[in-house]
Amino acid sequence: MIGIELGTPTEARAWTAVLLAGAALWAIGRIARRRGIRPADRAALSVLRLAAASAALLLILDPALLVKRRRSDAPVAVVVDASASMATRDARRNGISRWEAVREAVERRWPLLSRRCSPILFRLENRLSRADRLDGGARGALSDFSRLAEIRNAAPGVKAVFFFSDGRRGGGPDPRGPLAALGVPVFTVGVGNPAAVSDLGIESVRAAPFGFKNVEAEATVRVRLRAVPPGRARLSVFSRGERLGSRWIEWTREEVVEATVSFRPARAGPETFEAVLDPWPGEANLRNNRMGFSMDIGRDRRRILYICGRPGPNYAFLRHQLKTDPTVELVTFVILRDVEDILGYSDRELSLIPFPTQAEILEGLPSFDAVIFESFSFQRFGVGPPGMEALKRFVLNGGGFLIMGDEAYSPSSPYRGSALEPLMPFALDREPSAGPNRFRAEPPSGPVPFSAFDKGSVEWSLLPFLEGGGVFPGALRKGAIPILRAEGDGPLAAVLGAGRGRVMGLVSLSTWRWALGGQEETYIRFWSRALAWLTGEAEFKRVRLLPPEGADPGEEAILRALVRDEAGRPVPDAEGSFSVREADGGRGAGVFRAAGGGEYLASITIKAAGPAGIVARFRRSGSFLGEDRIVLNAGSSWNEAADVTPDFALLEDVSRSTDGRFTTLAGFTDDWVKEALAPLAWETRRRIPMGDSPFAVLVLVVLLLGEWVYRRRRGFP
Amino acid sequence: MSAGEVPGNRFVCSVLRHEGTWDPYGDLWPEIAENLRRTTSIDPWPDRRVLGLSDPALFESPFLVLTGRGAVAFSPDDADRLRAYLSAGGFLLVDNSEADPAGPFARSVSSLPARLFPDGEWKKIPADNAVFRSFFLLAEAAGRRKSGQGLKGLWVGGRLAAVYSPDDLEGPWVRSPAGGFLFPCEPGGEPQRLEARKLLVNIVLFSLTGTYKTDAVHQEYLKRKLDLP
Repeated sequence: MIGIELGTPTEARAWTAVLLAGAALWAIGRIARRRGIRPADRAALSVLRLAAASAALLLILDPALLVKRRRSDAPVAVVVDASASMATRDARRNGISRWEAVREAVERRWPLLSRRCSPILFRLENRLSRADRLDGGARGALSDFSRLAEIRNAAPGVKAVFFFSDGRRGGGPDPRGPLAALGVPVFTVGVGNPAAVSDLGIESVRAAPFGFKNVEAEATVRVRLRAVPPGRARLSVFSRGERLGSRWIEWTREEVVEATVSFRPARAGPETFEAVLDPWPGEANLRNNRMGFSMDIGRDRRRILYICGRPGPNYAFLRHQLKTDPTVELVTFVILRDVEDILGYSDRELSLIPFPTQAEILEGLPSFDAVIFESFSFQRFGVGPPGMEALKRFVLNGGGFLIMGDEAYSPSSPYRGSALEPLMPFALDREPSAGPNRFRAEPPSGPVPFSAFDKGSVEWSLLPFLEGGGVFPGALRKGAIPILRAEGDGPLAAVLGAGRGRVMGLVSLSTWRWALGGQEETYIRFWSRALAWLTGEAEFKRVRLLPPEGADPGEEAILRALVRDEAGRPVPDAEGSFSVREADGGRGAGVFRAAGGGEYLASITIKAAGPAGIVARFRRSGSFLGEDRIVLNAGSSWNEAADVTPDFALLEDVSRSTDGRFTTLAGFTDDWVKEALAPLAWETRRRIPMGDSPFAVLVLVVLLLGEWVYRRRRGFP
Repeated sequence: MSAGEVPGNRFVCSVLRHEGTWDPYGDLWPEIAENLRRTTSIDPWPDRRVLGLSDPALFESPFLVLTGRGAVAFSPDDADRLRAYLSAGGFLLVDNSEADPAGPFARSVSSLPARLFPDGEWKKIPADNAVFRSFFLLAEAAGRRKSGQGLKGLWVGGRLAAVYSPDDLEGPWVRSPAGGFLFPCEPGGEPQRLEARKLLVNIVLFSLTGTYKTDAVHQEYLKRKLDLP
C-alpha cells in the first residue's frame, strides 16, 4: 500500500499555503477573464500556472510518499491494576470484584488482541511485573500509576498500552507526566461503579508507642461509614490471629465513629497488632476493615527481686508501692531474724523460711529485670564472691541494681573489694563525709535522668525532711550522675550506667517520710521513675528509634534516632548502625549520620509492603551505648483501600495526555479494540520525501520559466 | 542513742494521747522493744513517742497505738488527720485495755471506721491473714482476755491499715514492781500470755512487712509447718 504523509503542520506553513492557493486562483482567474486569447492558450497558461502553484504548494507542505504493509505483531502492553481497591466487589450486579471483571473481559478479548497485535500481560501494584496469567487476585497493597512508565524497560518497542484500572491509586507521583513521556498511546479502561459503595472503613488507629505484656492497653480507632444504614459492628484488636480485645460500635447517621478498644498484649517485644471491623452485610470493600499498628511491649511485668536485711518503714512503704504496681512482679525476701537473735521458740512456732541459697539466687537471677538490696549483709547469708560476680554479669547484661542504706557506703562496706564495687555510683575508697541527720532532699544542679518532679525546684522545699545516720559518701564514681543531694550537703542518690545495665545508689532509707508526710504522689512518682529507669523502660532508653512518618515501599524514608547518656544529655559523637528484616524476609542494613543535638539520621528504603523489624545499635568510643527496636508498617500510609470509589477522571486524563482513549469496561468491545489498534495495523516500509528535494525546486523553476516564455512568445503581458 | 541521733528507718512505737485514760499501764515499751530486739531483726527505737492527733510528728510515725480505758472522742479535725494518716500508709493498732466488749472504749472505737471512711467498718481478720503469720504461726487471737472475737481490721485502699484487739494486748506485758506479771490471762493462763505476746510481735512485724508472708515463696514451707494439704 502507498500513502502520503504531509510535513509537520505549522501556522506559517498553513498561511503560506493559503496565500499561495489564493494567488494561484487569482492568476488563473485573470487568464480566464482576459479577452482575445485563444482557448488553447488560455488552457495552456492555466495548466502551467496551476502546475507551478502545485509545485510551490508541494515545497511548502513537504509531503512524503509512504510505502506500507499490513502487520499483526506490534507489541502492545496489557496492564491490569492489581492493587487493594481492585478487590472491591462492585463491578457488576452479581457482586464480583473489579479484578475478576477485568480478568473476564481480558480473557474474552485476548484472541482478538492476539490477531491484531502481540499483547504482553503485566500486573501493576506498587511496581510493574510481567504476568503469564491473570491469577492471584488483587493482592497488592497499593498501586503507583507512574510505574507504568517502566513499560519502556519491561517491554522495549511497545507500541501501545491498554490499562485496566479503577483509577484509585495508593501513592507515587502524578502519573500523567511520566506516561506522556512514554511516547505511546495509553488506552485506559475504567472498572468499578463510580456511585458510592457500601463500606465501613478504618481510617486511623491511635495507640501508645509502648505497653506491657498482659497489662491492659488501648487503641482508639476512627471508622468512616459510607452508604450504610444505622447499625452496629464489632471492632476487635488481633495479634498473630488471636483476638485480644473487642467492643461494639454503633452508629445512626454519622459519617465517622471513633471508639477505644481495650486489649491485653500477650507477648513482649516490638509487636504488630491489627484493628479489625467485622464485615457489614453486602459490604463491597473489605480491605479497609483492618489496619495494622505497632507497639513496643515490655515484659509482662517487670520482675523485681527485693532483698531487705532488716524490716523497717522503708521496706514497708516501698514493698507496698511495688506490690500494688500492676506492672511489677515482686519477689522479696526480708531477713526477720538475725543469727544472733535469741529465740526460745521451736521452729514449728515460727513462720520463718530459710533464706535462699546462693545457688538458688544465681539460678533465678536472669529472670529478673532489677534487683534491690536494702541493708543486706550478703556475706552473712552465704552470698559470696560468686554471687557478686553473677550480680555484676546481671547488670552488665542489662539488669538494674538498686542498693539502699548507708552501710553500703561506710568504710566497712561489704562491697569494698567485691566484684560490684566498680559498678557502685559512689566511690567506696573515699572517706565518707559527715553531715546532718535530718535534711531536706533537693535535686542536683545538673541534668538528671529522672526526678520526683517534672520541673522546677519549688516543690522540693515542700517535702518532709529525710533522716539518716549523718554520713554521706565521700565522692561519686566517675561517670555517675547525682539524682538527689542532701540540702546543702553531700550526694544522697546517684545513678551509673554499667554495660547494658544500670545501677542506683541511695543512702537514706527514709523516703517513706514523703509518702506519710502528705506527699504520697511524689513518693510514688519518684520510685516509679526510678524503677522505670533501672529496668530500662522506653522513656529512659539511651537509644530511641523514631519511625518515619510514612514508609512507602520502594521509597526512601528517613529513620531518626535520639541518643542520650544516663543523665538524659544528648550524645553527639556516637556511631550507629541499623539492620532491617522486611515482611518478605528480605534483609538490609545501613549506618546513621549525626545531625546534631544527639539526633542521628539514616535513609532507609523498604522494598516489601508490611511490617519490617528494624534494630538500631549505637556505640561510643568503641563501647556499647544502647539499642532500640521498632516495627515499621511499610505502605501503611498508602491506604488505598480507605476510599475505593473509582476515579475515572484520572484515567481519562491519562489517555488524553498520551493520545490514547478511555472507555469503561462495558465499552471494551471488539470494535473499540479494533479502532484502538487500527493505527498499529500498518507498518511503513519506505518513506520517500517529495517536497524537501532539489527536484521539486527545479520543477517549480521550469514551470515558472515555461509560463513566462509561453506568454512572451504569444505576446501576452 | 547518741545526741542528735534520729530514728531514720528504725521502728518507732508511737502512742496516741487522747482525752481518756490513754496510758493505762504506763510505759511498757522498753520491755516490748527488748523482746523485739532479742527475737527479731527489727532495730527498735528505744523510746516510745507520745503524740496527739494534731501533733505534726504524727506524719513521721508509721506505727501508732491507740489504747486506754473509757470513751475516746475524736473531733472532726482529729478524724480528718487520722483519715489522712491511714490513707498515706500509717498503721494504727487499737487495743482495748478494758477487754470489755460492752465497755465505753469498745463502744467509742466501734464507730471509728465509719467516721473515717464512708464504707469503713471493722471486719474480722481471717486466720490465714499475714497478721497471724508475720513472725510466729498463730491460730487465733488472744490478749489478757480471750473473748473469741479475734482481731478486727480496717482495710484502706486494699491495705490492712488498722487492727483492733478487743482483748487487751498490752495487759499480758504488765509487770508488778516485784517483776512478776501483774495480770492473769484468762481463761488460758500462761500459755495464753505467751500467745498474746507473740501476737503483738506479729502485729509489729506485719506493720513493717505487710502481706509478705502470703507471698508465694512462703506457701510451701507454711503448709508443711501447719500440716496443711
